[in-house]
Amino acid sequence: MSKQYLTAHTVDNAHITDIYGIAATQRAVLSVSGSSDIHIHETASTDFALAQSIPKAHKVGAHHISASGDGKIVASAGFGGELKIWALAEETEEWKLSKEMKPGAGEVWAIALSENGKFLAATTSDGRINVWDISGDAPIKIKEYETAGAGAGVFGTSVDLSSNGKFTASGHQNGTVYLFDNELGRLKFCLSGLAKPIRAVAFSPGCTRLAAAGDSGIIAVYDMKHGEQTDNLIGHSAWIMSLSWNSTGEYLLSGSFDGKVKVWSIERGACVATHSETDKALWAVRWLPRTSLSKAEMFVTGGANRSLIFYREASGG
Amino acid sequence: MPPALLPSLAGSNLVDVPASDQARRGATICKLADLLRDVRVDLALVRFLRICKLALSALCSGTVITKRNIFYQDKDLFRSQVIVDKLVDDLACTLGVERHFLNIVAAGKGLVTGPITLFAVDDTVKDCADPNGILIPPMENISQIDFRHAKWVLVIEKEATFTTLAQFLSAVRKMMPSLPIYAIVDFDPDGISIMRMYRYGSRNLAHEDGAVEDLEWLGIRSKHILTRTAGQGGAEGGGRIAAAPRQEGNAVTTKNTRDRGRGQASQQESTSSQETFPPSSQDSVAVPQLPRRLRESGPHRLSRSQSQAEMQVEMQAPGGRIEDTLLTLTSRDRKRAVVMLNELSVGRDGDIHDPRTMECARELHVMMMLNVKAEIQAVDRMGNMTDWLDEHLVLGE
Repeated sequence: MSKQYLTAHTVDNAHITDIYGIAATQRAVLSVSGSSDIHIHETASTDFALAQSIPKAHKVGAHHISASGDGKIVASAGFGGELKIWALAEETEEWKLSKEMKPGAGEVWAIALSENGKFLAATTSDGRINVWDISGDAPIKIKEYETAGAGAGVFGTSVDLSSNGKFTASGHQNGTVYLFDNELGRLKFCLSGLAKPIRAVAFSPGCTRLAAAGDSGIIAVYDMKHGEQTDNLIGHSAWIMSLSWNSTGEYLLSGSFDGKVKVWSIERGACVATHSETDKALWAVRWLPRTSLSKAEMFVTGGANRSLIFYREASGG
Repeated sequence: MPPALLPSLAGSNLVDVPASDQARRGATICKLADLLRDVRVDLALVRFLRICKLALSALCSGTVITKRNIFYQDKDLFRSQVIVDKLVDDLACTLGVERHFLNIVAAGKGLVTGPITLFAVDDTVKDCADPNGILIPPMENISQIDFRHAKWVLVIEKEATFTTLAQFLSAVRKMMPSLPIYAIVDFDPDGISIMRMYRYGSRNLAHEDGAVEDLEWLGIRSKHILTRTAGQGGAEGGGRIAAAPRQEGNAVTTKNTRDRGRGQASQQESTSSQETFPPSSQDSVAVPQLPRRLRESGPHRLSRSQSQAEMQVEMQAPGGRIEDTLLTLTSRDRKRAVVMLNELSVGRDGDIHDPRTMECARELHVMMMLNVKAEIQAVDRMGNMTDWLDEHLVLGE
């Protein structure tokens, strides 16, 4: 049975340039773009109003933004190579700059925050993955995973941290996915099923699966125990730029370069919904975390058409 | 650059003294350069003096020297071409003259082809109709250009800073304000930088005029190389590998055009012209074919069904996919992109709003997001760009 999703709201021209990254908390969606502002739209209200705009957050634009599971910390990575950590002020509910890091050219591309916002993982242009402890006053680099000899690695396009904190996964331009065991501090699996550049990796909420996708147009789903590929989701006809698991791990969301967003049932191994409100690239797609207020599940997309489009599951679905 | 030296050089009337004096002075400078080299002083000073000397000998002998020549005169001393380029610009700037007054040019090659005629100051006439192109003379040697029936100018550029061409284009713009000028450059930070150089003039050479503000950036743009980059399968609901993706249609429509058009497009011949400027030898493979083939093919439109039928064939054709011609950005490319993004945002209050600047910034962002670049060759077909030009230049109008 296919699922029905409706366009709940569209924020036209949410940014003046392409939207490259979206992070979702229980209350809001934060987005970054080729312009310098971070925009925060409320998701609790029905009009998805702009709750806050952080001007000049990233001088030449930002490409990734990641929120902690508890929704209190957000990290954003700018095209200029800078990393900014933002904290939600409890009283005012406003996001404030907490830390700024400038790890150097090529040192930060894709980023992922841990569930509690304490750890931040980032890929580098030469294929390493750095993990920082950002809970103290000054960030401390606690891990540096290498995927090849010094300087010989391949550009890390994507990264994720598992919600239980045990694993780090990275996707690379040569099509390889690496899975690292954070406790042992070493490589657990090297998964090379997709051959073409990987653009997105994502752990399922229960940390039992890892999804990876990219230029091959296929989503590979791996089981975490043995590193076996358990599923091969085929249906996109363009590069897949972004992946997101829903809160239960039953559905996977994918967005592609031709503007299509798809919802996949993991149980059935099939696409259950496709939307294409635009034919321009979708750079980021995200499920919104489920809250006690929201019954229907929602997701949001952003990309080259500069709009944020919110979708809601049709009732009874 | 040792600042103390500059005023004295600038004040020495170097360009005004008689040739014999210049030669003597050149010899002194040369000796000084050797001396300074021995005592291991600031390398920049030695390099600067060396360039002064080379410029001087070029001026004395009435020859023209390229920046590339200068570099190869003493590779160990200069280390990189960039250093030479900068010092030459500094020297020109310091003396308050344009670079060619030093008899130094950026590169030795620059070809023009098409239905135009150049009249030189010495009354010689150069017809540019040769499909292999003729070398563009320095602008100061050209007194007049007859554009005949030229409809547009296309700039094909692979290497940066080509002053003769920039000045030529600027002159063309002044003589023919309504003649469209298009540029085709690589899809990488350097390509965009070159395109902007033609459009706004070089930042280092702000005292030279060479800007064509309304230069049209024809390509290569992200949309040209990424619309065909489909994965496998096109089935809506998903399930298994299916038909060729629809995007494939766009970029291949002209293949048939070319084949069919060969016999019947001659009336177009008289109305299309191209100026191509390959400054490096690697271009000369692709470019000389260009005007001939373009005139052969001419503009034709394909019906949708024709193009779709063709697209199926295209999918299976080996090496036909643009995706395979994409290159990965180097760390230098990425750094260059960041530098350029910063330059684009400089002097502006907050975000960029000028559409043409935003366009450049977006292409750089997309390049970085996907970590890909592509050379002009990515859109050609075995060294033949006419199909692509048919579609984007002729049909695109």
